[in-house]
Amino acid sequence: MPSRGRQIVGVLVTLVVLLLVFAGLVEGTRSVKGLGYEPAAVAATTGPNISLSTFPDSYACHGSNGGPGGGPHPEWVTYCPSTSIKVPAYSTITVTIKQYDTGSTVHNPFFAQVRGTIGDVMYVNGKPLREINAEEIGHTFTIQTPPNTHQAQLFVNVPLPGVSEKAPETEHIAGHTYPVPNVIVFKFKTGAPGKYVWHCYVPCGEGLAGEGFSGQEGFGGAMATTGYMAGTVTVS
Amino acid sequence: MDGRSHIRRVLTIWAVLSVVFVALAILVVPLVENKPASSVAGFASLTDLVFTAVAVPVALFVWVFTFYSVFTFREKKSEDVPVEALEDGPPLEASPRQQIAWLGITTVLAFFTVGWGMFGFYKETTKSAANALVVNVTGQEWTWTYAYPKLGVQSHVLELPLGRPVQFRVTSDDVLHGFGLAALGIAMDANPGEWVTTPVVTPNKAGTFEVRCIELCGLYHTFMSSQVKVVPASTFASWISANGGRSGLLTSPAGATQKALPASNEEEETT
Amino acid sequence: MSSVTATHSEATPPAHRRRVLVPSILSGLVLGLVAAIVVGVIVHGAVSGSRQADDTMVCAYLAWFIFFLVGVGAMNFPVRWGLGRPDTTHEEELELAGKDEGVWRYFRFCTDHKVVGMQYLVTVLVLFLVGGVASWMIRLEQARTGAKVFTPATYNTIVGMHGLIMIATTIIMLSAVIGNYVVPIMIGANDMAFPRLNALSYWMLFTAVPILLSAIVLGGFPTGWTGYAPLADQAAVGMDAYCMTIVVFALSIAIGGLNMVTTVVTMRAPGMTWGRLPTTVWGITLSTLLGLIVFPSFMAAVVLTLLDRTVGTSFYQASLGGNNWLYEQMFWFMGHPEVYVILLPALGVVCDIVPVFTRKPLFAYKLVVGGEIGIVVLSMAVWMHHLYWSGANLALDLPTMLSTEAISIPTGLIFFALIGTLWRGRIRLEPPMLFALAFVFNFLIGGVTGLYLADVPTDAIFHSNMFTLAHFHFTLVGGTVFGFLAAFYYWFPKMTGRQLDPWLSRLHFWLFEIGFLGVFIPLFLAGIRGEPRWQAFIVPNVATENLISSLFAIVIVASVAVLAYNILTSWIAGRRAEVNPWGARTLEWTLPSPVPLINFPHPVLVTDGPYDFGRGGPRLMGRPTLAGAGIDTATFAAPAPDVGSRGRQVRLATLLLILSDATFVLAMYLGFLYLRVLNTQGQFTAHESRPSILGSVLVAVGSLLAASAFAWGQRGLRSGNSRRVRAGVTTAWVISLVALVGDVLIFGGLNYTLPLHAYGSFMSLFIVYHAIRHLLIAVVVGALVLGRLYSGRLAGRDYVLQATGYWFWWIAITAVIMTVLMATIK
Repeated sequence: MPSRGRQIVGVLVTLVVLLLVFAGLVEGTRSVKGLGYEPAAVAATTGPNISLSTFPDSYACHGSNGGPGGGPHPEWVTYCPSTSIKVPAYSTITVTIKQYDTGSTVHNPFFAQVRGTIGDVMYVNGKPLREINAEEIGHTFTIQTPPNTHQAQLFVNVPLPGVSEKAPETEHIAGHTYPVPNVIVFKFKTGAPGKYVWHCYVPCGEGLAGEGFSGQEGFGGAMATTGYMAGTVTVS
Repeated sequence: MDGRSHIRRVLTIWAVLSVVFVALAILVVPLVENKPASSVAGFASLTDLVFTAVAVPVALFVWVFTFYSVFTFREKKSEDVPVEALEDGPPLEASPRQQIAWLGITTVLAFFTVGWGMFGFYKETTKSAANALVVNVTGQEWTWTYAYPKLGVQSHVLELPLGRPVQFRVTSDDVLHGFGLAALGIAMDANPGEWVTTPVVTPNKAGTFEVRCIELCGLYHTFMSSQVKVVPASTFASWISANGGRSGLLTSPAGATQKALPASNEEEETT
Repeated sequence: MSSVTATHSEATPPAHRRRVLVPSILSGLVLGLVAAIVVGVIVHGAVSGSRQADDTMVCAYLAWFIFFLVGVGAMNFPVRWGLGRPDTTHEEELELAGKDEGVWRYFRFCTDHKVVGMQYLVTVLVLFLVGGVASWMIRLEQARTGAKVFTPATYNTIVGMHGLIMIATTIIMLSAVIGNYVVPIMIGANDMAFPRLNALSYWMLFTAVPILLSAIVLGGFPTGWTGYAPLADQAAVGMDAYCMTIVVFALSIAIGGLNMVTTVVTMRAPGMTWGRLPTTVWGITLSTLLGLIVFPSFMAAVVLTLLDRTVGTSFYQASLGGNNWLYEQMFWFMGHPEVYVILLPALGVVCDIVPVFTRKPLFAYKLVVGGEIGIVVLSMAVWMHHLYWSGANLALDLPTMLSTEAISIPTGLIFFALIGTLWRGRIRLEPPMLFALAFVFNFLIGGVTGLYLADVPTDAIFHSNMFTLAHFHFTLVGGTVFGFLAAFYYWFPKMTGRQLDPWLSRLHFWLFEIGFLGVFIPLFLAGIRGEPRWQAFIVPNVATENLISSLFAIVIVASVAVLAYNILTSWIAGRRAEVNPWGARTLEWTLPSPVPLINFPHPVLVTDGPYDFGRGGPRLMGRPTLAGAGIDTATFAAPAPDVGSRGRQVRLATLLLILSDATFVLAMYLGFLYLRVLNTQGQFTAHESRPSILGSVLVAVGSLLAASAFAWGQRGLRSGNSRRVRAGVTTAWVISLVALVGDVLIFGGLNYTLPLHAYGSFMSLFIVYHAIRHLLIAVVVGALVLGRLYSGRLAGRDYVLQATGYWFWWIAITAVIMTVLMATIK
C-alpha cells in the first residue's frame, strides 16, 4: 500500500508534468502561424506618420508568413509593410496609403464614405474627397473600437479608390510590376491609450474558396487573416 | 424515527429554505442583471424573477431530499463490512398516487412557464406601432451599419429617440451574424440574402448601450459591436439633420458622376 | 453468488509474432498514410484553381480513411466472404478475438467486445484530455481582458476544437466504453451481435482523430463546433478537416448504433425480459438508437458544405439561391437530439448505481424507462428552439416553446426516481456514489436553467450568451461527464481486475466538483451581465467573473492530475479486485475481474430484477445454468448458433441501417423543397435546366426491375431452386450496373457551368448520390453476394438475400421519389 505521502508527491509530480505539457501546447499553438498571426510593427507603421501600401498580391512584404499551413500566399491582396500599427496617444496621426490595386464593388455604400478623419475628408492625389463611387473602391482602411472597454471610441473609415484597370504597369517593386498608385492621405486624432483593430471592408479576398462571382464572395482568405487585410492599432 | 417524521422534517426544511432563497433571489437577481431599457426587456427581467421564484423551490425539493438522505441514512462503518454481509434497505417503490402527483405537478409547472412566456411575449411584441421608426441593420464582417431609410441617414452608431417605437430590419452582407441588443430585449440573426424584422420595441430609458454580435462570424467576431445611444427626441432630430446632409459631395478621381446618398437600402429587398 | 477466485488473464507470450505487424494498427497507419499522400499528390496535380487545396485534402482524407481500414484488416472478412471462402472456424474466431494474445490484441482489429471497450476507453481518456487542454487554453485567455495569449483567429480554432472533441467524446464515453464492455455481459451474452462491425466502428473513430487534429496545421477553422455556413464556405482548408471528421464519425455512430440495438433486442439471456433490463442498458440502447437516426442529418449538412467548398455548388450561398437556414435546420435537427444522445446513457448509469449504494430498489423503474423513451421521442420535436432568433421560423416559436418546456417532464421523472431511491436507503458513499450524487446536484442546475432558455422572452437576452454556455456545461459536464466518472469508478475493477485507490478517488471527486462549480457558476453571472459566447477576449465589466472562473479551472487541472496518477498506478499495481466489490446484483458481477475471453462458459438464467434489494431473494439477478438441453456451450461469438436468430439479427440491423440512410436521404429531399420554397433572392431555379426526365424515369424503373428480379430469385431459395436464385440475383446485379451507367449518362447530359445555383446543386447531388448508392450497394454488395452464391456457400443463409433485398427495394423507392421530385419541381 503506498503511503499517503508518496501518493501526494506522485500527484504533485503528475500535476507539474501536466502543467508543463500544457505550457508546451500553449506555446506550440501560438507559434503555428497558419492559425493566426500578427506581424511585428515596423518603422513605417509606428509614430504619428504612418505609411502603408496596398498591393494586389503579396510579394512585396510577405516572405514566408501566413498561409494555409504556414506557407506564404503570394496571390492574396495585402497591406504592406505590416498590419500592426502603433501610434501615440493624444496626437494627430497622418496616414499615407499608396493604393496599387484595382477597384471592385462594395455591397454596402456606407463604406464608400469617409468618416472619422479630421474634416471628414481624405486627399486623393491631392484632391479632397468625402465619398467615392461605391463601384470603384480598391480597399478601405477602417478602424473600430472593441466593445465595452471604457477606452476612447475611435472609428475611422477611409475608402481607397481603385486604380484603373487599363493603367500601364510602370512601377517596379520587389521584382513585380504595378501601376502608378493612387496616393491617399488623411489625418485623425487619437485620444487616451487603447487597443483597436482595423481591417478592410471591400470584399477583396476569397469567397467560395476563391471563385469570384457576384454576391457574397470575397470575405474569406486575405480578408479574414491578420497580416493581410486585417490588423491592430495600438494607441500608447 | 419512522418514515413519516422524516418526511415531516424534510418538508419543513424545504419550506424554510425555499422562503429564504426565493426572498434572496428576488433581492439579488435585479441587482445583478443589466437594467432593462424597454418594456420587452423589462418583461424578460420579470420573467427571470418569476421563473427563479418557481425554480428555486423545485431545485431545493430535490436537493433537500438528497442531502437529508445522505446525512440521515448513511451507513456507518460500511468499509469494514464484507460485501456479502451488507444489509438491504426497505423495498420501497413509488405508489401510483406518488407517481401521479409528481407527474401532475411537473406538468403544471411546465405548462405554467409556457403559458407565461406565450402570453407575455405575445402581449409585448404584437403591439402595433404605426409610426415605428424603421432602422435597417446590416451586419458585415465585422461591424454593424445602420440606415434610417426614411430619414436618409447612415451611421455606425445606433441612435434612437427615447419613447418612440422602433423596429429593426436585419440582414447580412456576407455570413451569419447575430444582432444582439440585450438592453432592449431583442435579438435577431443577420442572414445573408434575407431581411428579417424584429418585434417592435420602445426604448424607455436614456443612456448608452451596446449591440453585440451573438453569432460566431470569424476573425473579429469579438470586436463586432456598436454603441447604442437612446436620446431625447430633440437630440435625435438634430443628430439626424447633422448626419443627413451629406448630399453635397465631391466627385471621385475615377471620373464617375456625383453619387447621392441612397434614400433607402431598398435595393436588397427580397421576399 | 459464485466464489470463483478472480482469474486474471496473464499476458502469455504472444503466440503469433507476425500478428504484431500485419494486419495491425501499424499496417493500417502505414497504408493509410501512404495512400493519403499518393492520392493527395495525384489530385493536387490534376486540379488547379482556387479549390485545389480543398479537393486535395478531402481526397487525401478519404484515402486515409479507406486504406487505414484496409491496412488494419477490417476488410479481410467481407472480401474473404465474397470470394466464397469457407466460413471461419471456431478456432479462427477465437484467434480473431485475441485468445492468448496478451496486450497486442489491443493494437489490432480484434473482435472481443471487451477489447473494443478498452480501446474506446483509452481513446476516450486521451481525447478527453486533449479537449480539456483546449478548455484550459480558453480559460487562460479569458482570465484577463484583452487578447493576451492567442490571436482571435487562433482562439476561434481552439474553441472549435474544444467543442467538437468534447461533443464527440461525450457521445461515446458511455455508449462505446460501457456499452461495449459491460452491456453484453449485463444482458447475459458472450459478445455483441456483430463483433466485426464492433471493431470496425472503433477503428473508424480512430481514423477520425488525426483528421480532426490535422486542422491545426491547415489554418484551423473559424466556425466553432457548429460549423455554420456560409462562414464554413469561405474558411481555410482546416474546415475540410472538420467536415471529414463529422462524416467519419457519423458512419462510426451508425454502425455502432445498429450493433448495440440489435444486440440488446436479440441476445438477452433467458429470463432477461424488457422489464428486468438494467437502466444502463436502456439508456445506452435508446441513446445509440437516437444517434443513428439523427446523426445522418449532420452528415448531410457537412457534405453540402464540402460540396460548396470543393466543387462549387451553392447550397448555402444566398446570392445563388442557397440559404444558411438550410444548414441550421439540418444541423439542429441533429443537434438537439444529440444532447440527449449524450445524456441518456448517463441517466441510465446513475439509475443503476444509486440502488447499489442504497441497497434499495429503483424507486420508479417504469417511470425512468418511460421518461427516457419520452425524452427520445420529444427530443426530435424541439430543435427549433435553437432557431428562435434565426428568422427561419418565427411562426413556430411558440409551439416549439411548448415542446421544449414539456421535455422537462420526462426528465423530471428521473429525479423523482433517484430521490425516492435514496430515501431511507442504507447509503454508502463510495466514489461511484459520490459522482452519482453530484450528477443529481449538477444536472438539476443545468435542467432548471434550461427553462430560461426555452422561454422566448428570456432567450432573447440569453441566446448565444455565457448563460447558455454555462447551462449546457452543467448538463453535459455536470450530467454526462459526472455520470461517466461514476461508471468509470464503478466498473474499473471489473474491467481491469484492479481497484482504484479510494483516497485518491475521493480527492479527485472533491477537486473536480468544486472546480467545476467554481468554473461555471461565475459564467452564469457573466452571461447575465451580457457576455456573449465565442469571445476571443473579455471586456472589463465581466472581468471579475471570468478571473474567478479561470482560477477554479486550476482546481480542475489538479483533479485531472489526481485522476491520471490514480489510473496509472492502480492499473499497473493497484490492489486486485474481487468479483463483486460493490455488492451489486447485475450479471457482470458474477464473473471474474477482469472478465476472461469467454464471458459465460455456461448460459446464464435470469431469475430476478436488477433492483430487487430488500426482498429476501437471491443476491444476484441471475445464475449460470449447467450445460445441457441442447445448448451448445462451445460456440463463441454467435450467441445462438441457429440460423433463425442470426437471420433476425441481420434483418433488424439492415432495417436500422436503412433507417439511418433514410434520415440522410430525407435531409436531401426536404432540403431541396425547403430551398425551393424560400427561393432566396429569387435565385433558386432561374439558371439551370432540368436533367433528362426520361433518363431518370428509366433509371427508376430499372431500380424497381432490379428489386423485383432479386425478389423473384430470392423465392427460389425456399423451393431449393438454386438456378432460379442465381438467375434472379445475377439479373438484378446486371440491371443495377445498367442503372449506374444510366446515372452517369444523365450526369454527363447536364449542361451546367460552375458555380452552380441551388437548383443545379441539388440536381447534381441527387444524381451523384444515387449513382454512389447504386455503385456501393447494388453493385459492390450484390457482387459479394453473387460471389458467395456461386461458390455454393450461401445455402441455408436466406437472411443474406433478405437483407440485400431490403436494400434493393429501398434504393428503388428513393429512385422513384427522386424522379418525381426532379420531374415536378423547378
